[in-house]
Amino acid sequence: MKIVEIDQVNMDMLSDLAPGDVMENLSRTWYHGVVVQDDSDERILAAFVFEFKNADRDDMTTEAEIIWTYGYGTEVYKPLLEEYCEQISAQKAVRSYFEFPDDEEHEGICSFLLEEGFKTSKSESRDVYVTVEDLSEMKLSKKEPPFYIKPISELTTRQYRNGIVDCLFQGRRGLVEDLAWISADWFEPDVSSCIVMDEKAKGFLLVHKTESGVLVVELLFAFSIDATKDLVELIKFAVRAAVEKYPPETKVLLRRHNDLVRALVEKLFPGRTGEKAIQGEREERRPA
Amino acid sequence: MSNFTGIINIGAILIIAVAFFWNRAETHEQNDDEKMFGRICIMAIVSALVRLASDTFLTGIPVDGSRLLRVVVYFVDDMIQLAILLQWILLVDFMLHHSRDHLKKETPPIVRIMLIIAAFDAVVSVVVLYSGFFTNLNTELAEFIRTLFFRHAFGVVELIILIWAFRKLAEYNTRVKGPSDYRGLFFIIPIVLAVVISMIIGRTMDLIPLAIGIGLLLLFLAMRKNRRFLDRESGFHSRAYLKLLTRDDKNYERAMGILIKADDPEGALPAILKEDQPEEMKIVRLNKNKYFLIGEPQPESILKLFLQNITDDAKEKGAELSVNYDIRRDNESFDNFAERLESSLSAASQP
Repeated sequence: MKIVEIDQVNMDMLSDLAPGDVMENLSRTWYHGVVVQDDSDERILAAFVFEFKNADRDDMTTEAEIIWTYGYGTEVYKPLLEEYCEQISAQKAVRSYFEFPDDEEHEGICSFLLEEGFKTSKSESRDVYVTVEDLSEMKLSKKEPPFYIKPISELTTRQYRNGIVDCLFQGRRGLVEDLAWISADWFEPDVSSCIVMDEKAKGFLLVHKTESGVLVVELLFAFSIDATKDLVELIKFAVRAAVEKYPPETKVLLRRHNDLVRALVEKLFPGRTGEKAIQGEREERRPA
Repeated sequence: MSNFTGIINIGAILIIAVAFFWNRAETHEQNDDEKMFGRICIMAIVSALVRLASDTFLTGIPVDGSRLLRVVVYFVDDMIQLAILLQWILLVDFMLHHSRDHLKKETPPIVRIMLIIAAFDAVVSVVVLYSGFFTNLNTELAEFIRTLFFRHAFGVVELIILIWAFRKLAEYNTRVKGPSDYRGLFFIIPIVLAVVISMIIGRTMDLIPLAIGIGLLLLFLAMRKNRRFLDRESGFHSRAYLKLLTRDDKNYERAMGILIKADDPEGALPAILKEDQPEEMKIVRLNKNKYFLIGEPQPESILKLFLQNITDDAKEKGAELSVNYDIRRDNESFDNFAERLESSLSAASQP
């Protein structure tokens, strides 16, 4: 068996196996992959794709999230996990975690990770899916959006860049670990909205459309004078734009990655829950 | 003219005139705060003059023959009061946030409230003039009812505005880090006192002109004190601000400092810094081409990104930057911190 580290150059190795949503991320800064290949025919036997969290932050510890796995059997998982551990150790990650759907496909890997010291539990997924149709049923006022709420397509490159730097300076990056380097066009230009005051971007609701067509709310943050009120306006704008632009069946993913988002989702879509999922985590050895 | 109204309004005019002319004498090229301050001073003086004139004028003529005139004069007086309140709110807002767009955002709801009050005032005035109900009463009673109606309505508006102003100040004090630009409470306190005293002595809002006068004078003194910490040419803080920051540094105990030395023949850097300045950062202009940026410590990668952005923007405008940054040491004064960065930058640039 041969272990290969996946990078931007050889990421196409996984193109037949990994879903489009995983593939599109592999070229991003903090996404990494490892595969185990058969020595004889170079067939991929197993693979991990994972993302580093807080890797560029001095004030927080680095973690790694296993995003996607492929393969079956301890004999292929073992070398894969070893290589994964080496890579995360090099990045000084102190914790690994994952969340997989609670289904047959993930039973094998979850049992293996449990044997390898991961603490696992079954509970509701952090992800809540709604549809554009659900958005259209939200009771919103018919008033025109205020003058300071604009789609990001109306921002200059410099305004966008400075607004993002401001978010980063305040430690906010939503789900986008590489927010500093990702360009504005990665986000949906007419649905993603921003607060523009005195010609400066002072808050964003950034939405990315994945390869599979799911709209993911990647960042919701405002630092304008009336930030709380303005956030509501950002949401209204994005909801209206999404209802106008996408078919009703389009899925929207709301990831409840902190308590604020959890509370917001509960307020906007009371009673909505996530699918059944298996979560797991393991403290990694602190590098010397 | 009643003695009380006369003293209050003449006192207000004198106090505001002192603040206005003192401000004019000390500032040749006025910044936005000072221009707004000048405008509100003029409006406050006009308002006090109108009150004085209307009171003097109406006291001198018989009540029966002047009902229309009284109503018109009171209405004009109230409209001027409304305008000054509007201007007052906008001044407070601008001085707290320095945002023209925020003013634009705040103005319509305030104007709407003002228009409702104005309409109410106008309706009451017309009712006083033509209503059979009022004409059946003796004129003084009608006048009393009318006064009760809109003076009290007006008093409520003023109270709402005060609550609004307090809310803004509280918001400002929690949002703005480091020494405050203006001690807003100084100029709000006299107005609150005036409202309370006026209500206790049963002359609703009569002390307001004087209170606005005292408030404006206090505001002027705060602005004046603040000028030492302002670099008027760029609009950033001056070097003196570093001492203030050292003294009042609860929010910057762990601070990051960035020293920028510019070869900037076109003088483009202030505009670039203003545009690229992160919300949380303070900018101090040490001298013509040296700037000191103070903020919370940031991850190296984010800091580098920010510096790269400024360097690129400066290059585009023909300016070359040398940059040095570090974390402030324990108990190090901001002056020494800036000097340390400056000297290590100079040492690094020696051949």
